[in-house]
Amino acid sequence: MRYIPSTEEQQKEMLKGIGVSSFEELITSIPEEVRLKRRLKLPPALSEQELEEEIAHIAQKNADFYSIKPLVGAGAYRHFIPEAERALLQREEFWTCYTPYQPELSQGTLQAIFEFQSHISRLTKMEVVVPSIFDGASATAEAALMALRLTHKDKIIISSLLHPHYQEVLKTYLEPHNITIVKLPFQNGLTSVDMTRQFLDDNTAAVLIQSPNFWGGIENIPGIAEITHNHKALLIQVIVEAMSLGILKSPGNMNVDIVAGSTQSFGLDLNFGGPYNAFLATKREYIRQLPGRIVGETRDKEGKRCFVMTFRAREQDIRREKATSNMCTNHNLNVIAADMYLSLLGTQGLYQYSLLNFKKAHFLKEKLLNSGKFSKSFSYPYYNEFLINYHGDIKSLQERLIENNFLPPLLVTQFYPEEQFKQSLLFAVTEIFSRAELNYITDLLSQ
Amino acid sequence: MSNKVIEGLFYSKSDEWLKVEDDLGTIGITDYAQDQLGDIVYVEEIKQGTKLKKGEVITTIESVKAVSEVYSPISGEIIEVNQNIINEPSQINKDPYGKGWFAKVKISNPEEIKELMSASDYAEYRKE
Repeated sequence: MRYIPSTEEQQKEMLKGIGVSSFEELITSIPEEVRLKRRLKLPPALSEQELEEEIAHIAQKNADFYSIKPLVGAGAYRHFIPEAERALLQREEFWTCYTPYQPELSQGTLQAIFEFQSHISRLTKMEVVVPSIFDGASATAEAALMALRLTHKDKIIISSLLHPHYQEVLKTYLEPHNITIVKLPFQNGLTSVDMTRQFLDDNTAAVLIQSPNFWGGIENIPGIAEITHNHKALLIQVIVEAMSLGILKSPGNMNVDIVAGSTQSFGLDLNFGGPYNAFLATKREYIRQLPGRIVGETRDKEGKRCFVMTFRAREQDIRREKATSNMCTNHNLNVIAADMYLSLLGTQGLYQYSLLNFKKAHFLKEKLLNSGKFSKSFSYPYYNEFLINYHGDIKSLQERLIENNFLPPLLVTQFYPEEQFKQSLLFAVTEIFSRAELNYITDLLSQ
Repeated sequence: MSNKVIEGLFYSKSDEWLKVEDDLGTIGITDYAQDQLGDIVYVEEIKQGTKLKKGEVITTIESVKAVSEVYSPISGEIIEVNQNIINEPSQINKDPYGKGWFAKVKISNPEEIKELMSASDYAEYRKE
């Protein structure tokens, strides 16, 4: 960020331009009691060289996910990123946050988005894909709004195993809409299908299920789809760990109506929690109620293949307050990263990576259970995350892991305060862990 | 600019027309409206049996340029829907006062007809 100083004279000129006589007058709306009435307590100024050394020294205190391997996921997953992707992403042609509305200037970008849509469409087996939504949580909220528009009903049923942060964002989005949100309880690590059946009625617009859920559990989506559709409600599947799409049954094959998914796992670093990217995928019959727009393939006047933005007519710049969404952030560079990542891995590559995640998580869980220091929280099918109970001092477990450069698993009590989860840990295991490391971790935690 | 009007119909400020036969009203959009919108590519499903107040949205229509609402010029219940415009929206462009009609309503408050414009008033209203 650039520091732009101003002289006293320039300040006077600006104040005059605004129409106030002094700086004090400019800030009269800020209450007296919150104003700082002394100068900032800053150390003496440093030379550039001194400053660089000091900042470098402070920066060394940071841990990054390459020096410390995370055993925690819970919405953000460290996966291997091929160097080819990193190198290609450095091409400055891709470096724009602008939505490529002018096809005559943006064929490369548009083609990349089209490819991303095609990848996601193949993975989810859904007909239409909106690329480049801010993140998984806002895509989830957009999916709920879309279901409300499609059904003209006013009740949304959500799984309590939807990521707690996603639940917060959803609540915020739905607050002005006067919508009833009903939360489904869980049973043995999964959303209760029986309770879903009980909660469903003809006022229900949508049932919203994350699978794999917050605890990694693979939900009974086909079962929930059937009872949801009996009430003419829509089933929304939220996918937080996109890597799971490599081996799990596709939403489109389970009769899901709308899929909202984060693509952080496809070639994005953890980036301190963002920027990430997300998609929304649905059936062709719902295309008019999509938020945002899609990229389509067409022919130019010479008959050559080209790409354009389409289904733009309900975007906010055209429809204003009647727009289907006020979404405008375009995480295009992250879309391109995901496109490159998926293209580099290919169908077989993604399948193998996805399977590795599954196998390694199951390997670690078995080892931990065999150590005698852990016991099952639930017996449930899971992907690359699992909840497990630890019979020991959690603080000492965390310290041992950190000393050995592993980021400890998540304590779920902050989100699920129930007594039964006091000793529960949520582990995430991706392909970045070798078998030897997983054995080492087991030994470390069996002491 | 195209702005054909038909004598005997009633017109709204939001460019819908209403044909009245006893308590039966037929609703469509005017030639001016279809011309301004350009090629209409999509009409959202209109639900039979819906009770509308004057000024409420019957449906939304999408042209290559924009999406717009169609408002009911009169209060009443929708008793018939023109499925032809939903299957083939270009009918609205080709024949706005004929094959391009939207819905028939059972008029619940005939007093409201007085608030609408005559053909000549509407022609004047939309004169450039």
